[in-house]
Amino acid sequence: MEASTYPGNAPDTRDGGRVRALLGRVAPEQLGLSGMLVVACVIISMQSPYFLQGENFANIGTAVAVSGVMAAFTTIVLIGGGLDLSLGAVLVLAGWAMATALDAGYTAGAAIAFALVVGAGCGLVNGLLIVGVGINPFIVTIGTQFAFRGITYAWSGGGAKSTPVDDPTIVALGSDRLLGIPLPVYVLAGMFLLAFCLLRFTRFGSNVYAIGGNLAAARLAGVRVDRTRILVYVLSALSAAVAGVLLIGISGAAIPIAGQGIELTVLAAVILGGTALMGGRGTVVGTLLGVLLLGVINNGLTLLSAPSYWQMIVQGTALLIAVVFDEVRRKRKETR
Amino acid sequence: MSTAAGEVVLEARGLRKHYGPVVAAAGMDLEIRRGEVMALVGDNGAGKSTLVKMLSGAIRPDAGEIVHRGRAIQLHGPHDARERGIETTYQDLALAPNRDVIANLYLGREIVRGGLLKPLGILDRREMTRRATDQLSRLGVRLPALTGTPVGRMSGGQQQGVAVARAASWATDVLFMDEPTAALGVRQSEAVLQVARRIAQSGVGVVLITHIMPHVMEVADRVVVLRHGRKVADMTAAELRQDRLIALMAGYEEGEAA
Ligand SMILES: Nc1ncnc2c1ncn2[C@@H]1O[C@H](COP(=O)(O)OP(=O)(O)OP(=O)(O)O)[C@@H](O)[C@H]1O
Ligand SMILES: [Mg+2]
Repeated sequence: MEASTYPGNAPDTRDGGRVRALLGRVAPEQLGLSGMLVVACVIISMQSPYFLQGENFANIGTAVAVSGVMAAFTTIVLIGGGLDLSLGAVLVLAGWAMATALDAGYTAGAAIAFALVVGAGCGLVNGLLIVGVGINPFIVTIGTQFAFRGITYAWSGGGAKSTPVDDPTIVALGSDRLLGIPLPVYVLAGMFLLAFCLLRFTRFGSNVYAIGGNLAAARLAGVRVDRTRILVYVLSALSAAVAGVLLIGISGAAIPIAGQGIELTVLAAVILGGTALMGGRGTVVGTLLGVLLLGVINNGLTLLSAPSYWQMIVQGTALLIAVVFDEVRRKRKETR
Repeated sequence: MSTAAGEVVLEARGLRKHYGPVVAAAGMDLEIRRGEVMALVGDNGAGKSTLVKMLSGAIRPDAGEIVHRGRAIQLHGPHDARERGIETTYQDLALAPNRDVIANLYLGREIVRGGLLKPLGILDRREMTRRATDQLSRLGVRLPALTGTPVGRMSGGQQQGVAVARAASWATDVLFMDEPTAALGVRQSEAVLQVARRIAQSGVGVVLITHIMPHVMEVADRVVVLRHGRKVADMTAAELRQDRLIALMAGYEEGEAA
């Protein structure tokens, strides 16, 4: 083989190379995160015997499903060097769209499809403003956050109005179980698997990493940068629409004021999971760990009947700690 | 060294580029021939990178014409040039730092699985790795690891190797190299010059921008000197004397091709 003349060029196929190639290297931060997860579980289970029961795990799964679904795709957004702060607003707008369709007598399937179309439309608006017009994603998605939620309020005839949803399929999606596991957990797992495969196995994923790492280089290399970036925002908004459907299934009502600030919970989980705020680096596996860690801590606080503001304090602090870690990592890389 | 002029593959006719009051290119002509290594020299700010960027689609000329294989063309982006077999290694490295060598070599032209799965764009990493291993061996470029290690963690010379290998792998008509040896040690520079030579021998027109005169003397079949956005000399290696070259670049002597 020619390559033997150039031993340095041998592809990495030593033992374990395959497995590692499939899962990606286990980053130290992922080990650290897993450790923190275990520690949190041990501490909470010592305080509350209820924690380790199967029923409680089902609760945690359902509780993290809504933000988790979005976290999976926010990972893609951040890796691509973007930001989407309109998730909570897209969630309620798509959810209200579904409730309206159900009200008008459409089937659950058609209503869900309508929610997804509305979600994709929101994502397209974000994408076109950010990529097409070239405005900073932070500004654009704060703007659309207000716009989309405002549209939801207008459509529902005022923000305080919510409407019960009793469609059996939707309610089942939020509360039924299969093999003892709540259906939202399956949706969560499916969305994570989808995001994982997109990033690891497809040209799209490869290009997202390249764009987040060095946008100019990706463009010079001939990557269809604009198309890829718009698609990233469409996928992000679609995940928010899925979350909106789930939330209605779980709560049994479409609530226009729901999901406020949920994008920060999502961001905290993603950055905690080791994804760089500045793009180019990150993994879906890390995000999953971040989601679980925040879910377990919130669950622990509930079990210990801590007042609910503690959850806000913990989440805000977690976001800040994650950002500090991210910054430290970045600085260390620069000075290498 | 052979100076036999091959077929002219790419041509600049009166290319102009202004940046506000700065005239980066004041009507430049250039003929790039197959099989030839052309050294493009000139002082800092002479317009070398600007000329190359216009010819490789990275920037649009304000005026003038680009002729490829005898036909006037418009380049609407680097993508356009690459589709015509015109490749470039840029002075400011154009790599994706967090991706490994394979991903960088195939950036923008990933090999995807065929058949029913084709629309999904699923990467065929094995095929890319196989071809890349082959290609790097042929070019004589050595890298520590092709997969798993982000190129951002490699040394400057190794990164330059990736950039050169990528452009060289795809160039069928023209290969532009903008100061590929600027950050390299003696051995790596030698390797890059070898790549330039080999690529030219395969029938590609190679344009090498450099400030290092020994490299010019060593590898160039033709030398073009730019100054203040103009071509001031265009000569074959046989006509070349280093002292005269430096005088031309600095503007002490007027060239014949103003
Ligand atoms: N994007 C830009 N905006 C403004 N001026 C520019 C830009 N790019 C180049 N210039 C100017 O155009 C002129 C030619 O620049 P160019 O980069 O082509 O020089 P060069 O010959 O490649 O120099 P060097 O040897 O330093 O790389 C310079 O005066 C430079 O300042
Ligand atoms: Mg230059």
